[in-house]
Amino acid sequence: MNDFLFYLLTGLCIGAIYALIALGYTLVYGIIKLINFAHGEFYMLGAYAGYGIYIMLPPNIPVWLSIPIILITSGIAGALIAVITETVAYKPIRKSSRLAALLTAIGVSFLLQNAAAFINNASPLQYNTSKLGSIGEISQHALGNTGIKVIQFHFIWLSALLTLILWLIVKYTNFGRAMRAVSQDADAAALMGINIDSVIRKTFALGGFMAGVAGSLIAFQSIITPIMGFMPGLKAFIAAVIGGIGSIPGAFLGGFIIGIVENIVVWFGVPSGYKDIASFTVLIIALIIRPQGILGKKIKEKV
Amino acid sequence: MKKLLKKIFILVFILSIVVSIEAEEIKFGVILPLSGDLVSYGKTTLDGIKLCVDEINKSGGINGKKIKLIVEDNKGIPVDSKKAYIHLASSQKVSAIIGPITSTNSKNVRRTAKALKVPMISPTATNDRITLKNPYVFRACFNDSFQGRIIANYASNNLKFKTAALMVDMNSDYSKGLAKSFKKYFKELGGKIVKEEGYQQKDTEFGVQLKNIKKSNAEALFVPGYPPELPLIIKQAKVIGYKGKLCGADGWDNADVINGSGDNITGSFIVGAFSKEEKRDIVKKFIKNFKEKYNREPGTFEALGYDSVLLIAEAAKNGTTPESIKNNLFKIKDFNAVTGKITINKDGDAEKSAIVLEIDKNGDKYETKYKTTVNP
Repeated sequence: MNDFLFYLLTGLCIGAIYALIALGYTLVYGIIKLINFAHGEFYMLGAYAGYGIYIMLPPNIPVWLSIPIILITSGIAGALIAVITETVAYKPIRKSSRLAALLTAIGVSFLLQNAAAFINNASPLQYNTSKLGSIGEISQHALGNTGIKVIQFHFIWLSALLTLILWLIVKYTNFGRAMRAVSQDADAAALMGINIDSVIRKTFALGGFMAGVAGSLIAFQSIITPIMGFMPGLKAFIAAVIGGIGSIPGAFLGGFIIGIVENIVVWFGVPSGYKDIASFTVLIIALIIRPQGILGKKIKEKV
Repeated sequence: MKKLLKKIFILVFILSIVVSIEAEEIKFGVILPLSGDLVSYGKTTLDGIKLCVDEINKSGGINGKKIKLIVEDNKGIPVDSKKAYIHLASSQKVSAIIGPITSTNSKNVRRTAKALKVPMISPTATNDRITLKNPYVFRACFNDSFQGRIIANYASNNLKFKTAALMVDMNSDYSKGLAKSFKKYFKELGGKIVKEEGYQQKDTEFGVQLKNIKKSNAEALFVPGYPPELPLIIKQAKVIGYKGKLCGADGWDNADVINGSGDNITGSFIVGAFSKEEKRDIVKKFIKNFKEKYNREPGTFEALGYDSVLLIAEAAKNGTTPESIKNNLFKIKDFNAVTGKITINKDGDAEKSAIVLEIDKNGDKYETKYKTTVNP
């Protein structure tokens, strides 16, 4: 039972990261029906930005102060990159076909990956783990002899908190109302005096912020490389689809489902080298049984 | 105007003759990952290569011909390795090629090497199949079956371990080849493989796999891998609370691994091709010159890069065409190199002794300590 709990918790922790990234997919899809494949790159660049500010901070700054600074910096960096990407790459083709937008997204993803390869010659960066009390060292602390890192519990509540804030924004603020209006009918929203461009930009910024924070969270206990965003980005996309793309609670739920599934299968005896197969299998099953996703709404289209 | 043009033409003509006489040099190509995940191996190997070329050129070159290096970056990617090989062999017309350094990349230029007939010598690609049935592919290191056998031998005979577990990189020929040979020899010696786990390159979380290994109570955990995953695995093994001994192959002998893996690496043992504590003259000279040039200690990759150039230069003494270098490489016997007395066998593999090293803490730095030498 103890072991089962370990796999479950490991899954929950990584699921929290997937959930944070999946929110960005869902938001952007919800509003302009674009699958933003460059979203994993916002996560990666967020991690780089967080590391950048970490180097610039004075070395004896206490951890309780430096961690929030790093997380907020990486969030803002993620948001900035997202807004720039939207303005430069997506806005000019907003009226073109969906396929063009999708291809642009993939192109942007490669562009950002290769641009990041200039940082430190693409060799991996990591937080210093040898200094006692530093972020890197604290991130390696385990809970007793369970093997679960203490820092990973923070992933879960932080992810839940950010999702809640996002949900409140969408539900109760003027901006949220504008977002929902644009997602239902952009032209009608524009006639009602909503600045569509600004709403879309802010939506990208929100998604980018979440992804940037997730990037730094992972980077604390792991490494930063230009391609670190690819796999999590893909899995978060699956999470968003499973949860029901366009739905915020759905993305949150989907993230945790993917995280748990891919770790729990090892407990059931799937060879660990193939655990990625599990998440993709879940996607296929979900698409067959419930194509609109767990919390997604079925939209009837009149022909 | 016409006369001026004529004069210029004649001048250019004469100049070009002079330049072509000046250019009495022999070109060697180099294919290494100078960016990407494997960059730390690429750079260290290149340092060794450059040191050797400088030394040869300073002492008059090969029969009076200076060596010129043409370096290509393959980013650690198979397709780019192939492109680099074609470029070096067809456009640059090099006499021989050094690299690539990993098994997966080398495997992908095998065919090209056979077609374009320029010999390549890989400093560190250890997968068995790379040199088989291909006279144009050589290596300066020993192969996986030999390496796996030595690790299995040491774990079983010297440390008296009865159980072992493995953690294998599913995307790497190197890792899979080593795992296969380790399993074979460890079982032959009466040991038992209690758990075999795998991971994908670019993974960053290994908790689930390591938990399974911990449950199996294996006395030794063999991790044939590379950075960036390797240091993470070693660190996370500590987080999980795995108490057995960690062991690895030549991929561990790298500053990123030894100094980037935290405390848990202390006491691990690895197979290396080169030890700083060896007393032969050529080793002493190599270490001294290396420190003078780069102001740091050389490791296995630097030494193998150095030896690759040494071997080709030796073969090039009797003719600098690709074909004659190839033929003369096969004739090398008991050649005194930094990583041991090398004999090139009929497959193109370097036969020499291997060294078992243990990683030890020295102040706040980690170091490899010489344990024993094993002959082939």
